[in-house]
Amino acid sequence: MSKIEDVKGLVETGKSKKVAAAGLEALGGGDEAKGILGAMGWAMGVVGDKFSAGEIFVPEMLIAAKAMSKGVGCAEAADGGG
Amino acid sequence: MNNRENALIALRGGIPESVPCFYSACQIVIPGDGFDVPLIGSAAAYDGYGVHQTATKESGGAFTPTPTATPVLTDITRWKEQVTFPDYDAIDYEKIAAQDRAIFNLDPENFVQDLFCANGMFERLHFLMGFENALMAMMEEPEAVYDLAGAIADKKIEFIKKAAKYYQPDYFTYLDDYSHKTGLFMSKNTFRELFKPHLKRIVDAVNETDMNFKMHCCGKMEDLFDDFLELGITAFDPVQCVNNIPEMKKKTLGKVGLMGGLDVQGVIDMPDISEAALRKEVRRCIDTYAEGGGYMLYAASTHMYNPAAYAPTGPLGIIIDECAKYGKNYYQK
Repeated sequence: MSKIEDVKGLVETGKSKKVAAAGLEALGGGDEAKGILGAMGWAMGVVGDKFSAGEIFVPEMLIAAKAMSKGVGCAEAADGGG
Repeated sequence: MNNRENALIALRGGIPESVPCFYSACQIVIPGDGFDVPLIGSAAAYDGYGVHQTATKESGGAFTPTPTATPVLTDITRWKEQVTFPDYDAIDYEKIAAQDRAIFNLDPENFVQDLFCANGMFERLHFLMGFENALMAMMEEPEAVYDLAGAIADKKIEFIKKAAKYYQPDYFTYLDDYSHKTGLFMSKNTFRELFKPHLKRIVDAVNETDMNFKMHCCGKMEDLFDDFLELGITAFDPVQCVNNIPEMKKKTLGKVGLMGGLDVQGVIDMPDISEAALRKEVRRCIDTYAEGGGYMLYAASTHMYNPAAYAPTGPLGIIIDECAKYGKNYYQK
């Protein structure tokens, strides 16, 4: 599995403590910051759909958003401060 | 049969003579220890857990955490260091219970005595941390949340023993809102893992006394209803109209009392609501929810702590009057 898939999964499951490291690994593996940001946006879309369908609740949504925020910070820093 | 006797039958799931109305059949008892909420009459104060609360006009004078105050708990894993707990043994409950009886004109001969124990485990968690931080802590550090909820439950159980001894109410109402207008704040699994085991201890502690346990859970809580029933809970409020109350009653008739139904957000607490609309809402509730008994008219309204609202022309006075007329001898027709 590519590192960018890891980032997606970590955002979707709200693993904010791991997402920055996974993002850096993806960058180190040759993925572009823009691609990582897109992957995280896609993951948040999945989270939103699950919330709308009643499969997850506000707490799961909040930790996913927190993970995305950590990941965005990492990708922006790698991209020269956004 | 007086209003109290009539209401007690409904709260136990039975068929009374008339449809009871909470505002004319029950008296709210709020312990004057200042622990779960600051003392009535304070504009703002710290509660027994060190949370600064303010009574706002928007909440009808009810206390909520002061938005500008720093949260007491900033790291859920450090709750033992950061949270202070109320000391129930430091309070002279014999004295304050006597004061409360006088202040609230408590009349246990004629009114059901309903003691409100505010801010249950979930509410206390978000009072301590702030709402978003509490919800995230439930996901990120569930073991710590479980332990803190257990410590809060232990304190509730300490208070239950004091309440039974010094207040002797008919109902011990445990307030903890797990839901909002359209659904739950958390998944059923999260509730079951973090709160339900401790809630069972609280329910059992009440059931060991002469008090009856009543669960207060605002919002659309029907997805937790089976869990609550499984815990042996036999009375509920404010069972809001966003729930399918007729469907819930199929599970409760003859065993469990439901108190609620009035549309608090759409009718009762609307500014400038007309007398006709209030009377119509009372009739809707009776027509829709009263059949078979086990029902008491109620809404957790922001008017409840305003004595003027109980005047004949006040919103609660109008509700009392319409229920007395339309619901009179409803079950003998």
